Amino acid sequence: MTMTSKNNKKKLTRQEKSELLDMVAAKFKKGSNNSLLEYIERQREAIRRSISPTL
Amino acid sequence: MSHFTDTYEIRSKISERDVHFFFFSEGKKNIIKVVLYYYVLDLQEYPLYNLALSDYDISTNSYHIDKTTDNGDAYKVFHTVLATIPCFFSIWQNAMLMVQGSDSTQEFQDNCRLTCKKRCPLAECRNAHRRINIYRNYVNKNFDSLTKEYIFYGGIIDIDNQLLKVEYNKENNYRIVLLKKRKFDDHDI
Repeated sequence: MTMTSKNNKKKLTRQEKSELLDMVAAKFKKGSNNSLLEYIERQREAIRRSISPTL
Repeated sequence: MSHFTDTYEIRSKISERDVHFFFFSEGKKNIIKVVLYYYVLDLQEYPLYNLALSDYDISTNSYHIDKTTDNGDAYKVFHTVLATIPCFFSIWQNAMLMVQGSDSTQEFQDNCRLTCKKRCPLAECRNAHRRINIYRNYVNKNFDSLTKEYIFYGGIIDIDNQLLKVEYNKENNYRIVLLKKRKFDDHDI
């Protein structure tokens, strides 16, 4: 299957989209997206610091 | 929030306590979007989650959080994100969800001033807060029907830079909106 990137406007079939989403989800499970996880952790800490005890 | 017909097909993924939804934005480009619901901490009797939206570039395996992509399908993307909210609450029924825009941060405004041609006063960036305004406008416009299922709160940052939760008032321009699923025995707040 030809993968799409955000610069590629190839029309994907429903099956191709389904397979691609499966692959993205699988990668997410394996923790291969470290930059995203690091971002989430930074945001999580920032919100925790800002939370009032009375919230 | 589940009544939209113009939404993209979504795929969910539960990763420990976090929940993620994936979909294809099909506008000028094909873009994989990820709606992130990530756990922050336990607040009294409920877990607090934050909502974020990211692009995923499969060619570089990189994520671009809260990026403005101008893909020509903003409403369909917005409706798809809204449609994930009932799905999220079906998984974490007791959660409190926090919604805020990445363009509401001081960092966004500082960066905006570096390249922006608008001559905004120092205390006001006209490009800021657009995202939360879209969510808030939706809540305000549909408040009566939404409050049958959800309880909304405004989030206010006090002088000590601490987040306070207040009763939602449609007249206030909150930069943070919090919501939780209404339970059978919940009253107004």
